[in-house]
Formats: sequence, C-alpha cells, structure tokens
Amino acid sequence: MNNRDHSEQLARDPSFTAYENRLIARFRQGETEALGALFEMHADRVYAYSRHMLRNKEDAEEVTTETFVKAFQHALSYRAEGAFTAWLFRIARNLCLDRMRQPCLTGLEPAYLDDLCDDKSTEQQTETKVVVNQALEMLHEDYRMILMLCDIQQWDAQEAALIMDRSLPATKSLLYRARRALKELLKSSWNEDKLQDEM
Amino acid sequence: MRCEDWQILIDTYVDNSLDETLTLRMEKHLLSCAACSYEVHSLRQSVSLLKANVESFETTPQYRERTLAALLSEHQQGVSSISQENNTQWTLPFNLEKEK
Repeated sequence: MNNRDHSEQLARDPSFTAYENRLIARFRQGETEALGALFEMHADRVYAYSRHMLRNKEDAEEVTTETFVKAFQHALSYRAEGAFTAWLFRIARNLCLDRMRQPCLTGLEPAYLDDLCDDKSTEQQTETKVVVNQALEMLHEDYRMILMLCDIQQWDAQEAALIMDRSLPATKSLLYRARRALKELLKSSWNEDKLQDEM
Repeated sequence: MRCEDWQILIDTYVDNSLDETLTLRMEKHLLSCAACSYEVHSLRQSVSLLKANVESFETTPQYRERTLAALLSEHQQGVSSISQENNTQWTLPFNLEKEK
C-alpha cells in the first residue's frame, strides 16, 4: 500500500475524523505538535491534488504550503461543521483556481514522462501510464478536478460537492460527464478486443 | 423501459447509485443489450485505468521539513502577536479576504 492509498483509507475512517478533530482542538489550544501532525497527515494528498491540477512541481509546492498556512490561520476560528480534510481541500481548490487564472509563470511540465518511466514497468505498462496521464491533462480543469476528487482520492460526491462549492446533483452530473470525456480520450488506446473479451 | 431510458441511467449504475430494484432491472437489460453493456464496461475500464495509472505524487522530505519549520515559525509569530495585541490580528487577513 503506498502513501496515497494509506492516507485515503485513513481519511475515510470515522475514528480518524475524531482523531483529526482532537488534533485541531489541541492546535487551537496552542499545541504546535498538533500542527505538525495535521501537516504530515495531509501534505501528500493536498500536494498530489495540486500537482495534477497545476501540472507543475513548484506551483504545487507553493499552493500546498499556502493551503496549510491559510488552514492553520483559520483553524483558530474554525468551527467543526464538516470534515477538516474537506475544508482543507476546499482551500487548496480555491488556491489552485486562483493560480490557474494567472498567466503561467513557471510553465507546464510535459506529462511527467520522466516520472512515469521506471525500471519495474514493462513497455506496455509505461505506455498505458503515459496515455492515461496525458488524457487526464487534456481534460477541462473542472473534469480533472472532479476525477481527482472522486475517482482517485475517493471522496464521495457529497464531500466533493462541498469542496467544489456545487450542489450534489451538479457535482454528480460533472463527474459523469468527466468520466465520459475521459472514456472518449482513452477509447482509442485500449485494446478493443480485450474489452469485448471481458464483457 | 426502452434502451434509451436505460442509457440515461448508465452513469448512475456505474456509480453504484441506482436503487436495488433498478440495479437488478439494469443488469437484466445489460444481458440482452450489447450497446449498453459495452458502454458500462468501457466506462468502468476508463475509471479503472485512471485509478491504476495516474501518477502518484508525494512531497519530498526536504519540502516537508522546510514547510513544517515555516508553518511552526509563522504560528509562533501569530501566537506572539495575539498575546501582545488582540485576536483580530491573526484572523484579519482572512476576514478581509472574505469581504472581497
């Protein structure tokens, strides 16, 4: 299990939410260790989300830092009305959108090709990875965002609606449209015969 | 229901959000409709491919160390300014932001 799977599994555990709320309470009482624990718990997920949205390492790191600065500043007046993580992602999402509206300062990375190649993958696996990640990049930012939230980071539609500041029906509709757009992009790359065999 | 009606429900079915009765009826329809069956499989395959292949980005230890130090420092400064003056200093930039 990699860090992403582990943190996603943790975030869905009700006892984790309770633990998280206790950390926030401790942080609000001035315990800086709680701040460190919250940062360690969520930094990778916020970074992965930002990196996919912004397609640039430096921008993603800056947005991740900014997200936590804002979250911890707000945390002093935060009322536990929803999951802290959803609230954190809402901040990250807004910061990503702000940055995406700015002229591109640092440039986009070309499909992370170097990152996608490793010694353990076969040529076919590497090719599939490249195709999938390029398809994700080609999607409209709203589609990319909803697929990141619901299909990759495993938020349910209700939580994604909160993060994206949309109604639940609008969020589901966006998710379904995003999946269909992704399917159209991937359709030419997958093995049609294999798909027919699986049916 | 006609095939067109089932097609409208395919996304909800793939999302496991159909109620039990409709799910059973959809599955019965899929057994006899190649077009809808293909659509369901291709949507599921897209999501599976995405989950299995999307790049997993992680922060570096250097970034975490650097950022955590900055956050702790900022927090300490915030706490100091609060204790020296008042609570509004800490939240003021964000109150202003809300008013934009």
